[in-house]
Parts: sequence; structure tokens; C-alpha cells
Amino acid sequence: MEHETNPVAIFFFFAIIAMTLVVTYWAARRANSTKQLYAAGGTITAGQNGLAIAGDLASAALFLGGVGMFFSAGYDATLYFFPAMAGFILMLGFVAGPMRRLGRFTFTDAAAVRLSPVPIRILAALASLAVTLMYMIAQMIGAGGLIEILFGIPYTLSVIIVGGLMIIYVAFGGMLATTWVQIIKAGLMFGALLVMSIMSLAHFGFNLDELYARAAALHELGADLFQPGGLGLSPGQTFSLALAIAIGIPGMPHILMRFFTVPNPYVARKSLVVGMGMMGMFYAMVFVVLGAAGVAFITGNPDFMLPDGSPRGGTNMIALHLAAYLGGDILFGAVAAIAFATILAVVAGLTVAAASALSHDLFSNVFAKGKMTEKQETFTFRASALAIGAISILLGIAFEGQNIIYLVGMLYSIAASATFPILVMSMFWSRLTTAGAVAGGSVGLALSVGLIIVGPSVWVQVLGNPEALLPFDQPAIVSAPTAFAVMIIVSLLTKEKGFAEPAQQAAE
Amino acid sequence: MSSVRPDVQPLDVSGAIYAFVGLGLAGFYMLLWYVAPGLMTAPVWSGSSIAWSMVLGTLALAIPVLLAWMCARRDVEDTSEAFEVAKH
Repeated sequence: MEHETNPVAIFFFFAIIAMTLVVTYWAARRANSTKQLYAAGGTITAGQNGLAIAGDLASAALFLGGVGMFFSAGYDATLYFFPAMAGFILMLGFVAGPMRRLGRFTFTDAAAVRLSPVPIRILAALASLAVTLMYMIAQMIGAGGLIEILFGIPYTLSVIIVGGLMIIYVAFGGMLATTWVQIIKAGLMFGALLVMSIMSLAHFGFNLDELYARAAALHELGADLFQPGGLGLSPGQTFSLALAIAIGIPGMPHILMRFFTVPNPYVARKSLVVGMGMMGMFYAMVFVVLGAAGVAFITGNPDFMLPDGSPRGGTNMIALHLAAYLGGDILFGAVAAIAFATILAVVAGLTVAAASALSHDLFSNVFAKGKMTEKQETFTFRASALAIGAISILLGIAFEGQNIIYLVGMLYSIAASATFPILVMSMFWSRLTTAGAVAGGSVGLALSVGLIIVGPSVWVQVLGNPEALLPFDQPAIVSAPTAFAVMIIVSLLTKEKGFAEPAQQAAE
Repeated sequence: MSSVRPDVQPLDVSGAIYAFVGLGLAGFYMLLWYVAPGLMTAPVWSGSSIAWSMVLGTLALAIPVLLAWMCARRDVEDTSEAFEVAKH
């Protein structure tokens, strides 16, 4: 089945763009201060922020990639799900409250409270940029593939369209527009997943046994479809991926920023519980129903499979094929447009985080030493959003063809090895010194990025080398403990020589 | 300009306990994959094709949500911790 000229999809596509632009216009009229641009004025409620957190996390990479990965590797797709739930609890217990109490606009604010702010801000901003740009690559790839299959627009042009919309949302509407785009998208997405789950189960009289039996009968793995090991990862690799996600989630800059949009730490924690409940439902629908349904309905179906046995558009498009199978053009059009809205929402959140790292951490607090006026900083934020948008478009084009859920796994390794250690150690370990934090964070960042580059996904598939220097893509098992160890050792060997207040506080 | 270095954040003991319970459960679930994979794929009861793996997987997603709710349900709003506190 070809989807290129689906008028329903086109209608939903433009409806969503129109709706989000209206939201952006509404937000832009209020986004006249840094507090509004970075943190939506701190007026978002727990329920709204919980939905926005879910909207931020339930990315197209997880949705499209998760269903696609279950289609190809079966049960191992859950490797991306359950460690995340553990990560949310870690975030709730250790990070959410203190982060809101200490920070103002970025997680770096909290990390810099007890340390010399300039080196910490430089390092943390670089780590933020690495994480958010990597995440943005995954979203761009999903967006490019999606628009290509929907409209027949070339991949490169598709990526440019998404990048352009993202720049408009963030540069004009800031965090307020981003928050509401995420809330709208979360509602649409969870509704669509629920409809697809119910329709999938209805085909089997709401009997999961029959769904699983049919999936197992059709898949080349057979009954092993529901057994760990489909990805072929070693136990060490599996543990490394799970570790990366569990401790990477509490270090994701765009999620941490969401805690500054609420009035106080109490609301921050409450909103995380709401977001976690939503994510639990999201994972459960994908894991329990839609993954197996994708196998049961799409495998061997000539409408959706190529003669060589591979799915049309690649495994990332299985969720859309499933929607087309279940509900024809209408459901396909709706789900495709919602997946597109998902990409826009997540990318907008990432752009806010990356632009904030550039404008607030680097330009305002490091280069301008906290002496920027309100007007200058709002301009810098908008210019940063433009620059981040342009860079992410270029990276999205360069990484075309990657399985997007793999990329998500890799970026968690960077967060687990750089941002999370800096954050948690600066908040809770009294002996941490600036030298220790900088040394540990730098080693974690360099090691995680370096090992990812020399692994198969980048070294072979992106850079075109015949063989990877290292045989694995998930470095967290090495890089995260090393970052913590270096941080501890260097801190024990050094002393904090006087404490300088952050420049901005001095200026105030 | 120098000042006294702020103290570290107070540890939320119950939050930490819940976090470690959540991590422990995730770790146990991981171990099951490699220590006893046969257990996870054995039929729950005769005649059913629902595998242990699916049941345990669902629990691995649901229990953390329950833990999070238990962790945060006794939170008391402290208005002194308002947005304007953080200035740096």
C-alpha cells in the first residue's frame, strides 16, 4: 500500500501545523521576558507539566522505533522501556525537588550553585548540547522518513520543513508554546495509541493469547519473539543499555528544564508522577499490544511488505502500516499526523534546552558574565534557537537511514556519563570540587561520545568505514562509572579554593 | 565576590529508598533475562500462550508507577520554596 497521496493525512498534517502555529502566536504575545521564554513564567500546573513531560518523552523515536523494533527483534524492544521507569523513580527521589529548588532556567543553574560557575557552565552546556543534538538527529530522521512516505517529498526537504517549524515555535513562543504543543500532542498521541490497541485486540476478540500466538506463528523468531535476545546483544551490552537509560533519564536536559516551568518543588515532583503514569501507559500499550499486533498484521502482508520481505519504508514505519491496516486511510492519516506532531513537540522541547544552554549558560553567564540585559538575552535565546535549528537540519540529513531507537539509546549514554554525574554529585556530595566535577564530567562526555563514534553505528554506517574500532554502541557501562570515579578521585585530591557566587547573582 | 559555599541538598530518605527499590526491581528483572530465561518463557498455565515474559514485563512497567505514587503521596506543599527563591 502506498501512502504518498493520502488526502486524510494531508488534512490532519495541515490541521496540526495550523493548531500549533495558533498556539505559538498566542504564546509569542506573552513571551517577552527570559522567565517566559525559558520557563513559561513558572506557572504551569502539575497536571499540565506531567502531560508535557510525557509529551517530551513519548517521542516518535520511541513510538515508531519501539513498534519497529518489536517487529524486527521482538521482546528486546522492552530494553528501552523498563529501565526508563526505574530512571523516573531515580529522578523523583533524587533530582526533581532539589532541581526545582536550586535552578532557575537550566539544570546547569543547579549544578553551578556550589561550584565555580564558569567552568561548570561551559562543561554542562557542552554536555547539554551533545545530548540534545543527538536526540534531535533521531527526531529529524523520523520526521524526514514520515513526511517522505506521507507526501513523497524528498527526505532532505522534509527535514528542512520540520527544522523550520521548530525554529518558529521556539524562537517566537519559547517554553510556553513548547509546553502547550507538547500537551496537545500528548493528548492526541495517547488517544491514538488507545484506539489502535483496542482495534488490534478487537480482531482477536480481546484475547491476547490469540494475538501472541498469531505473531509467534508469523515471525521468523517463532515463540522466541517473546523471549529476550532478539537484538543479539551480549549481557554486557544489554546491561550497558539499561544502565544508560536508567541513569540517563534523570540527566536529560530537556526534561530537567520542565521542572522550572512549575511554581515549586512540590509541584515538580507531583508533575513527574503524572508524567510517569502516562509513560507507563504508553510503554504498556506499545509493549503489550501494538508490538505484537505489528507482527501479527504486517508480516507477510504484500500491501505493506516489499518482495524481499522487508517492510515498506523500513521498520520505523511499522506503526503507520498497522494504523493503515486497522483503520484504513482515516486512521493512517490521523496517526501519521500525530506522529508528525510528536516529532515537532519533542524537537521543540529539545531546541528550548539547547538554545537555553547556548544563550543562558554560555552567552549570558559565561561570555557576558551575567551582565546581559533582559532584551539582549531574549534576543540571544532566539538567535540560538535559529542556530540550533540549522545545525539539527544538517545533522538530520547526515544521519539519514539510522534506526532511530538506537540513536535514543546512545544519547542516554551521554546523559548518563556527563550530565547526570555532574548534577547528582554537585547536589548531594559535599566534598565535590570544581576540579573534580570538571574532570569527571569531561571524561564522561569525551568517553561516551568517543566510544559511540568508534562503534558500528557511526564508524561504519555513517562514516562508511569497513569495520568498527569497537564492536559495541552502548558505552555507558564504561563511561558512567569512569565519570563518577574520576569525579571522586580528583575531588579528594583537590580543594575548593574560595567560593565565588555565580556572576548573575552578583550582578543582581 | 566571595561568599559562604552553600550546603548540599538534604537527602529525601524515603525518596531514595523508593528509588533504590525501583532500581533493584529493574536489576532483578534484568537478571531474570540471563539467569533464568526459561522461566520467563514458560507458559503461565497449561493451554495458555501468554508467557511469563509478558506478565513480568508488564509488572516491570506498572510497579515503578505504583512506587512513584507512594513516594510522592505524602509530599506537603511548602510555599517558601517558591519560584522566586532561585535567583542564580
